[in-house]
Amino acid sequence: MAAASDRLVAEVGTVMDPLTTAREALNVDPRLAAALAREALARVHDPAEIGRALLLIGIGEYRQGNLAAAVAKLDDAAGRFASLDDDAAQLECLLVLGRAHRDLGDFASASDAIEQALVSANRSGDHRLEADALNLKAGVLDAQGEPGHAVECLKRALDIARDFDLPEQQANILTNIGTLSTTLGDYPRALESLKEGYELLQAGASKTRSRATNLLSLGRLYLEMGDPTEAQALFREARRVGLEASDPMVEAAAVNNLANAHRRFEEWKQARDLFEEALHLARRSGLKQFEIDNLDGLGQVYAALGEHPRAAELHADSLRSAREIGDREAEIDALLNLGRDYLAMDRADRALEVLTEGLTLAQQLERQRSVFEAHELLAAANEQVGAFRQALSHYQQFHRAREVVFNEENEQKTRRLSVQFDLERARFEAEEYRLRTEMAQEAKEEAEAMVRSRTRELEESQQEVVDRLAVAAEYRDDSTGEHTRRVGRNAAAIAYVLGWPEDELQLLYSAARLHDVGKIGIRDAILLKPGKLVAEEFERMRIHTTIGARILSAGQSRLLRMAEEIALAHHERWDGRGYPFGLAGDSIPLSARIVAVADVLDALTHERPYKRAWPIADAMAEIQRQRGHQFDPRVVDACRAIFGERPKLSPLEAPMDWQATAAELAGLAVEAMPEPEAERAEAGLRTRFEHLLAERTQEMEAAKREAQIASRRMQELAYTDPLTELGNRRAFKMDFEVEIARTAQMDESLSVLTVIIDGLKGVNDSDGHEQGDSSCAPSLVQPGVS
Amino acid sequence: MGRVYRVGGDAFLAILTRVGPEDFPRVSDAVETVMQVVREAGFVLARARAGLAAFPAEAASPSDLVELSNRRVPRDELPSHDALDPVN
Repeated sequence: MAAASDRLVAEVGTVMDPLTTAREALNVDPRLAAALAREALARVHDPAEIGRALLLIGIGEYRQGNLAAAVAKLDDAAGRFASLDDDAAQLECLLVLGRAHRDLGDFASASDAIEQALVSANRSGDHRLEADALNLKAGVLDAQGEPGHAVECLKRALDIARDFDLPEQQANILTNIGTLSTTLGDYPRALESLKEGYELLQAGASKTRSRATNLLSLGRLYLEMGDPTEAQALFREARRVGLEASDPMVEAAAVNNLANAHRRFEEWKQARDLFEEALHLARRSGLKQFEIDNLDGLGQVYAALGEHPRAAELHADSLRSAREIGDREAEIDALLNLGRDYLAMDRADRALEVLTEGLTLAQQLERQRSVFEAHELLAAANEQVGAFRQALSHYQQFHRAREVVFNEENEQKTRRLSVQFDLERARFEAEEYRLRTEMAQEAKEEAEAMVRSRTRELEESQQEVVDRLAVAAEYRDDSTGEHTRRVGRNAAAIAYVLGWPEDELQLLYSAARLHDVGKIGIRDAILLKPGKLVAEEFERMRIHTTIGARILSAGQSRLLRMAEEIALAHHERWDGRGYPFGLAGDSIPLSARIVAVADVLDALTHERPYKRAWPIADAMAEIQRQRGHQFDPRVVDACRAIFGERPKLSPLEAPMDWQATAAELAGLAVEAMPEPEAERAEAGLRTRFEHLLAERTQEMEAAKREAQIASRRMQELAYTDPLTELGNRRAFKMDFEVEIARTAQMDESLSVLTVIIDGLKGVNDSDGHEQGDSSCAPSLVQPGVS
Repeated sequence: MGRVYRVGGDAFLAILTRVGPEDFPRVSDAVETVMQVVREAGFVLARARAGLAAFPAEAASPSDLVELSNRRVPRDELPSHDALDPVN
């Protein structure tokens, strides 16, 4: 193999300029390209030629994944080009250098190279490379955990690519915006960007890599959105693109993505076969980075299959390769995985060794996530060898490190979710508006039915955001969202006893989960304080009600409106001594009165930083004591019917979702409530029903008015020429008949003027229709004929 | 003096109430004024060809009136079928 390629180097070198040949070989076989350039370097003497040779070796090494070697050559080349004042060559060099540093995890050096490249691109006015550099900068920012700044960078790059009409780059930047938005959880934006990029790439003759990257990103987005079938189809399409262009890197990337998709759904056998295939592809083409990736994935698959010795072998392989090319991120991953394998094989001594090394490296590179993972694994390893003091110490450090990461991630996530929430709402409103407009054209009843069903669908799609927002709000003191789920379930159960209809129960189940969403706005120091709050802190704590209501305000759906009223009023008291407004009795929304009881019940029966968990009987006794004081008596009675002497449901755990909750409620046999209570409940329901009916009538009236307006507008359109807004032929015919009849009757005269305007067509043809349209419209309407 | 309608791609019709043959010169002037505006707007090649007919002096029925007005449009270039046959 080596001999063959040596011979090829020698043959090709004699026929053509070796550097030109090397450049051409870059895209096909980077190893050959580097070899050709090295050959040339030995022979050339001109400083510019030396620079070029070094650059090509650097690129060749980089493409093979030999990062450290690439950096050395590229640094050398960049220095030479700088002294030669060769801006263009220096720019190319700096961009690859930036990439290599990035891949090595050395973000500071990567940023330096990219900033230099940006200066150089500005000076030489090379917009293509300027956009390239910005794109790269975004990648580094993202890797440094600043996705917000990364998106800003990409937007600037996109503007440049649009202004200077660089469609392929535009598409690549859109792909990156899509990828970034996927990791940010902003799926609508991701989809929009990736589709736009896809269309641009389909329209022009574009590079294999650009198309494949776009397809792979789209695939990962579908995977995130829970559509593995579509995702796999896209990965396979990317693979086909790679095969057709004989681009092994694309093929390897596509197969790797397919393998990861199967691993994600725990289809271990398929994942194993695909990782093997991708590994083979990567090795055949000398793609180190991919080789490491696939070794890593394959090892994890074997670990999942229980074949730990095999997994350890693969992870050791991956460790060796990572060290070979100096990829320290990959080195950390390999060390931790190896540690896991050893732990599973009961070889704690070996595990301790590799994990300690992994921890040190992770600390050096400030990879917080790896740091806490390493501590957790080290705690387990120390426990295995009986070093309990060390185990405890690692366990404590694991907790501290994890808290830091979770708090950071939680804040980011909350911000993102709020944005997504607004987006869902805006889309809902736009959709509703569109459907209402459609109503005029279609039969009114039909469109109305559609509005209802779409409303339901959109409420469902909002559901997911609601769930995640609820979890985000509770993340700091309840990382699983179980508290909100139990409150939702218990509130629904109480409402069930009060006789609420099924669809209202479901709304309450979801809306109740958002009761504490305003806690997002309360500082940790207060929220997580173990002791009693001082007066000032308590004042701060109170505003979580108004913050929550503000977050949920202006919602159109019934779900959001109910969630808003609950968030605002769930700390009001029946006797008027609650907050924020001191409302009393029936002026507190019923939903909030129910959630008040459900929330306190759950708080009492579970442990809090400042109290132990109470037995259910004690908790119910306390709630009973507050009947008519803190709580609505009717709601307390309903609560007792479920959680009283013989609890019908467990207050300690709630099912995962509404379907399971509904099943639970359906099986709930509840004794009839005391007579007057039941009567009052019925009266309450009747009032509520009438209220709903009135609301519905109002909606129908509004829809009717809109339909009338729309149909008038349609009538106008039927008699108007859309271009000039003059009357059309039909309008002429109608008016003409009327005018003739009137003229004959009044014994007057009437003339008809026919005008043909030549030359406007010419305008349309030469300047485009827009110009022709806009100029012919006004001048013909105003004229002296009228 | 009346309302303008667009009845085809480049064909326009105007109903001019209380306008008889004695007012025709005034109408021609008006059409020329309009075209001046159009040309000044940048359509140097734009040119209007107009035909004019009066009821009841020149035509006895509504359809004759439109047809006569159409026929009086100078024919150096055939106007489209739309303009020739606006009402039927």
